[in-house]
Amino acid sequence: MDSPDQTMLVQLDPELTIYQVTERHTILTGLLKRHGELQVDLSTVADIDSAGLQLLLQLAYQAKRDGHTLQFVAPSAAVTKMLTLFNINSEFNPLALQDSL
Amino acid sequence: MSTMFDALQTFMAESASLLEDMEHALLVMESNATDTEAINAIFRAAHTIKGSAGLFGLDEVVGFTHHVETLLDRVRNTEIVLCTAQISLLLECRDHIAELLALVTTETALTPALAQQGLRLITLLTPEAASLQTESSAVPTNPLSQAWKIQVQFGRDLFRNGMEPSSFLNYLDSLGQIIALKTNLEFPPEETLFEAESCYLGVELHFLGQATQQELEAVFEFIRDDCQLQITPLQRIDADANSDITTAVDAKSSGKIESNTKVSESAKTHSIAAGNLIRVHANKLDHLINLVGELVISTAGVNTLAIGSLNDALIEAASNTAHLVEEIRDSAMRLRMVEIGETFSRFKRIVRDLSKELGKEIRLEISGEETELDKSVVEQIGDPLTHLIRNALDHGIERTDIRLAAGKPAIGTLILKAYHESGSIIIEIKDDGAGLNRDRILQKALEKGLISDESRLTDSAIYQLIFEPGFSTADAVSNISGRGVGMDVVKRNIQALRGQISIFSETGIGTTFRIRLPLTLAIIDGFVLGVANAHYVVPLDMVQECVELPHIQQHKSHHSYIELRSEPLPLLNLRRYFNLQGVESRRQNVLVVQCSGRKLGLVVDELKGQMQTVIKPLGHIFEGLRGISGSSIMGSGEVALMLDMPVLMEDAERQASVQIN
Repeated sequence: MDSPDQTMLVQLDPELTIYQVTERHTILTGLLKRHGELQVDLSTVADIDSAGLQLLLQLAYQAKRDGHTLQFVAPSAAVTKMLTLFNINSEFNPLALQDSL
Repeated sequence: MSTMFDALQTFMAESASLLEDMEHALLVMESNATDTEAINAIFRAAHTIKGSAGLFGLDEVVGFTHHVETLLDRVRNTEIVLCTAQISLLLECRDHIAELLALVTTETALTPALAQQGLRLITLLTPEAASLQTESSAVPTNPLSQAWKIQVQFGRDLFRNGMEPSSFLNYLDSLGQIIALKTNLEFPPEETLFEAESCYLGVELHFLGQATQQELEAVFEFIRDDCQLQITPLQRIDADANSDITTAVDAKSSGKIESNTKVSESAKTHSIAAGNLIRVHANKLDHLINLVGELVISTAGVNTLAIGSLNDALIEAASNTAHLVEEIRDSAMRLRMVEIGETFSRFKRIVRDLSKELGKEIRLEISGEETELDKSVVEQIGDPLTHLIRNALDHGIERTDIRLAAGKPAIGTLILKAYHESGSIIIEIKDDGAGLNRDRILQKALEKGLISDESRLTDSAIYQLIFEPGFSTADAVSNISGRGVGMDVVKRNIQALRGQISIFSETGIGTTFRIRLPLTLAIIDGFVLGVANAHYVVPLDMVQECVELPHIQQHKSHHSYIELRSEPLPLLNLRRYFNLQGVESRRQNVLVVQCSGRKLGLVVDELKGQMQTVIKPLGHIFEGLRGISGSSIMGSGEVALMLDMPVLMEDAERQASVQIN
């Protein structure tokens, strides 16, 4: 469960596509605001599209602005493929043009 | 997502159209292999299909079409000139692409047979096979790899429109190499404005490959209106080119692109050049026409009441409305009209393939392609026409040696003609072959017990026997025709369209099949007749004149002819024909109608005048009813029955010949 010195760990459902993003956004944003610190386990995400990737990017971006801690861990093969394609690092920040994963 | 489905449907429809263009252009090239317009059309078709297929992830289509495109590119660069064998090969490839696309519609997997066919065709398409036909002395160009900078900011609704940015990147990667990439994010300044289903993504990348700028632009063709795209060549890839890209996190807070992006004009005009056309669902059109039909009936009712009211202002207003409704009616009907040329064009390929298969030399002449008819008629007339054409090629036109021996030109001619005539559309299929064998037909018919007594049949009646089910005089039942299951279906299909088919033939000279179809559909201008208490309608354009029945002929039990300007005019007494009761009016009238070039006088009690009417078909119960082809509701609310003039003509003729004998 949650306590101030323990980070909340969240496991995502296998599907993170356009169909699920709105709902996931509401849930994860709510969790992040309540706990301030969140760890998201990506190992269970089997199906992800650009909308799903965008969501993760936005959560990372917003967390930084709000001063929350958001960590993505253990990206699945599907997630890694997306990250590579769009040249995003493990902190879910887009890398510069000359850098690569 | 329904928008994805719509996008796929659009792709399928456009691909079908492109494949048609391709076929047409290939056939043109058979007579002129250097026709630049045709070459460009073929290349464009293959290229566009390949590009669009890539966006939907249709790898098999992309893979196969790529090889076709490679060969066509060499033709376009005038490296090679296509020979007849290659054109035939390309036609086969076109068919193969169509088959691959059909798999998409039915959502079936690639069959081993189809895969095998694809491999075979690809082998034949490869440069080694093609180079045997090389004519041009130009050195094959070997385009160098070129570096490009591509910037794309995808539009907000991209996801909603069913598009997936990663597939664009994957496709680009397949065309060459993405050597560097940066993702841009345009998240809104306020968190509350963020919508997970909107797309805030953009990419900036460096691409290395042999693709041309057009090819790169074509990758994004499908989302041209949905994104901001800029493609610029890169001289060299080094730190200078990257200098404007700074930090890792580049989420733009203003929501605006700062780099100058401009929409490529050439890609935009591509869709405009396709013409000012709109795709409309046929259901919507049918609904509209139904409503117009109801409007016509309703307006007729209003008009009748207005006239009865003796209110001048009202009469005038009602009349104006009626005129407007007439115009709407005409416009609505024209929406459904389609040129028959499209159907005719299909036959070029069929004639070509069939004549090759039969080993006969036949050329096709088409005229009247602009002749318009209703969309549904066009759809249904295709099959019967195909069968008649196959018949003409198979049985009508003789083999080359026989033709030469008979002193005919070696190349047989098949003429396909369409034109309007007095409210109908006529389609003729004419061949200069051997003609129908009257005696053989008669013999076969007697054998099969179709007729018992041959003495009173005219030639045209004998020819009509070939439409009887199971009839075939072909000695050799070929793969194509001769099984005797075709002609009766042809006749039935044509009759279902309220049409007729007649045959003219001369031994040794040729045969002509003439199909007559009604042009008018639901709403027509009609002339109303009154007989006893019943009302009948005749299409106005068939009406010639009205005369009074000469007194001397009134009340005669048999009056089948009158003299009209010293010419005999056959008569048909509708009262007697339809077996109507009631007292005959003192003065009877004759409405002179013309149909299929023949005249007939309809003897009736009253001539009620013109009326715009909506014709509804008769229900199934009335299918056997002879002489009536539809019903209509008049302004007064009463029912008027539409006369089937061709049938009445036939019966009048028969009646007259019976009387003579």
